[in-house]
Amino acid sequence: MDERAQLAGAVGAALGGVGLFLSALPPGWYGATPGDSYVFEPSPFSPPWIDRVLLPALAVLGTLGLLVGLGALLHRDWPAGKLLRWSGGATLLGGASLTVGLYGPELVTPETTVALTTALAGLAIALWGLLLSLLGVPLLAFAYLRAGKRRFGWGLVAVVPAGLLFAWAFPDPVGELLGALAWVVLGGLLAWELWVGLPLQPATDAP
Amino acid sequence: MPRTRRDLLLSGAALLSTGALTALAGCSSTCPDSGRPTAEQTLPIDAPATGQFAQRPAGAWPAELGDRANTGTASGTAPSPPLSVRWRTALPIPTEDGVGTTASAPVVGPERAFVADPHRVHGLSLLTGDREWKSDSLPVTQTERYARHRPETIAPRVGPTGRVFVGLTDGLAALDRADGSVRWRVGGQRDVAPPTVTSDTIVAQGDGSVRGYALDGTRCWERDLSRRTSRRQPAATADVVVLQTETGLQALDPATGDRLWALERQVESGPAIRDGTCVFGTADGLEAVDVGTGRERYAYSRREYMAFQSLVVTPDSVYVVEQPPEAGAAAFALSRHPDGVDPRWCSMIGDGVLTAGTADQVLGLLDLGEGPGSSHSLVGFTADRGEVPWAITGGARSDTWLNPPAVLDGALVVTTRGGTVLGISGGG
Repeated sequence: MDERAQLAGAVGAALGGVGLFLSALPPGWYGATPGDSYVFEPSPFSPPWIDRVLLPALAVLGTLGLLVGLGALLHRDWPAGKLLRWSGGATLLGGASLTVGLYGPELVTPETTVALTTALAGLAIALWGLLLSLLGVPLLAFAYLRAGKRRFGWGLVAVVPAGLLFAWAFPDPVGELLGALAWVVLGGLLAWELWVGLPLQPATDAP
Repeated sequence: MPRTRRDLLLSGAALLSTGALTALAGCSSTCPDSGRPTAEQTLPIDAPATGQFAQRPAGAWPAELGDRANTGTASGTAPSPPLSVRWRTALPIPTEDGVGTTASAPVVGPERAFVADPHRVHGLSLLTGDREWKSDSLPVTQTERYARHRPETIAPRVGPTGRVFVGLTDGLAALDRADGSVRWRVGGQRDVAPPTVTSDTIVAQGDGSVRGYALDGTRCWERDLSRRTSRRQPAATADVVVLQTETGLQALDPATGDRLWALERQVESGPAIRDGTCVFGTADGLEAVDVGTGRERYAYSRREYMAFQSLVVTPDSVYVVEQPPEAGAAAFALSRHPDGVDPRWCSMIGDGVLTAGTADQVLGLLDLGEGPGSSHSLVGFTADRGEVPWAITGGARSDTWLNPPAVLDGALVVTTRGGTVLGISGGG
């Protein structure tokens, strides 16, 4: 059962990374340019449909994939200590909240502008998720660093900020591509750790 | 003076508060689009003229809103790029401090285009743009309120036989289309709007009354209306004429003046009639009623307090401007079906309006660009996706602002407020 969960988590994380990578590609690459008007029902597979329907779906699925991977990792290393459990839980909850806050308002009110209350609720949930993630990810990374998994720990805390830094520092489209690649690297790290890495040793404080 | 951190924080807080209050008031458009459109081809009104039309462009535009039903629709196709100015004529309109801003929108009859100013009507050759006649002095009705995208003088109206009717501050006049001479003139009404013409009746809505005339100027009937009625052409079919009044809409029998039905509404756009349905914009959206009975057929609303203005109704679409209480407006293309309408596209147009449509395009007046560099423009949106293939740009000065155009098959006649009339063709 554990092995199956680890396999599912690894596949989810890898696919999630790819999904997020695709969703972060520059719109110009698939022909979506800012139009003169907003088209309510773009025809399937047209550039605005890819931009407004396919890629947000990929982003949500990608995030879910990463969260499944993270969940599987947390499940595997649950006995390793309180720090990992709390930081992992915060990271999971933060990621889920961020996804709900960012995409939820659009999903519940399709084809119209989002109502103000829904938008504010989404913003609040997203900010809450961001706060949890900002606290959870470094602490989770620290937990793995403390347990001797230096490459994974540093990767966990550094990949996404590095992607953002590259996206800012390099001119487009190189910067945009590097920023998008960070998600593939993060998904790959999670998958690798689940598939190849050894579980952490139970801590003495474990129940 | 260098700004301190405290200043910056205070400015930021003020900005956030203003933004939040505006957002909380629900004042913004429901259109998810952002930014003004950008035209693929821009044609300035002072572009060199390429010479007269090779032949008279097909089609007619007998009223400012296109036809007697106020649909704003032309039967042909709108011009497509590359657009070119074929001829340009400057009319000697009255000026104030050296600047004239009172030319009307153009209308087009069998051979000529007609433009009014507060003192007369001008007749121009459609082929060459040459001014062929000017009428004797006439007190042409002025529009009731200042609006950036509406001319200050009402347009003339071409009747079924080509005769030109014009609403006056004291009545109605009929002009000979060949030389502009006054064939008949009747008084007794104030500030008459462009009349609508059914097969054998002219319906003239003035301030406080509406009258039906025979084509020879004989008065057939009269009804009192509330004061401050619309100075827009009533919408009509052969059997019904629908008036916008201070309290809503009234439908009359054009032959007798008998009232058929009435609706109390805050009407934001003049009524338009197509396929037996009378469509009009209200303070909260769009309503459509059976033109014969006044019974509701459908209603459409984007959100409370989002007024729908400047209707254009083509066979398959309703185009309308959604005007939020305190923010920029958006043009909406709504697909028509038997039970109502569905949104197809929308585009932010600032304080712009829609004026006319064909099967392939809808035309609007709006400012292109932002800030001091923006120009008052006539813009064509494609019917399917709202892309903007072309724009005709006036300038920043009010005498170069454009009026609603007359739309012919592949051609336009456009006027500026300053009295410049342009014949424009598409496709080279």
